[in-house]
Amino acid sequence: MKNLKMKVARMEKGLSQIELAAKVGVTRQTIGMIEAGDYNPTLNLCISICRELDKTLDDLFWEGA
Amino acid sequence: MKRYLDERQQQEMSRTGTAGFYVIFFLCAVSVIVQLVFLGSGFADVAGETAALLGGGLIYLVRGIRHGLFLTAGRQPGIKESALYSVILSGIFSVLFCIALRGKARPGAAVEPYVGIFFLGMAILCFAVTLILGVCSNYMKARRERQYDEESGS
Repeated sequence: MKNLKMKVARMEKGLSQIELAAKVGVTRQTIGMIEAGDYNPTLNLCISICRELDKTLDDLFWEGA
Repeated sequence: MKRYLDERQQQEMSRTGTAGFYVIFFLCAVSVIVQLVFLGSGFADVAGETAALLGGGLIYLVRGIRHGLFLTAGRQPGIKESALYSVILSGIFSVLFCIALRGKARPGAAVEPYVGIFFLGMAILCFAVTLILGVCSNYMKARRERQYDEESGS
């Protein structure tokens, strides 16, 4: 399932996939695959992404939120 | 130390490595069997493949057991399963041993007693090894469960 919430949060922050990838220490493809729903990130990476985007885990990765 | 692969790439490399390991292991095993049984080669001719099989197999087993992951068909084998697998595998290799012996023995020579002894020895050895590995694996699994039991405060 696509993670549109993460994509929206990233765009609200004005970050490109490359910039977010560099901040959390992964490749751009990994960010793209998370947003496309093709890769399940580890909890550590989820937390890193949340910190960079000033969001909570619920905001970005919980479907009911 | 700088990491060159992110977590997704590491997972993909791990899966790729696992697939490569199984292919290499299978091809080496087939190569050894074909050379020994059908081409009449000696043990010296297959020493390289045998060493690779032993080395790779040993690492696979030791690492699996250290993490309590000695599994067959996705679960820990019991005594019945161990006995069944031992008999089936010993049977297969006894047939191959019989073919190899027939190829090397003089015509009319009785190879059946040797094949019988080989079958029995292989079955007992395989059963014992499987049981021992299962016990070791269970011990490591139990130790890890104790280590991370919430009652123990870990």
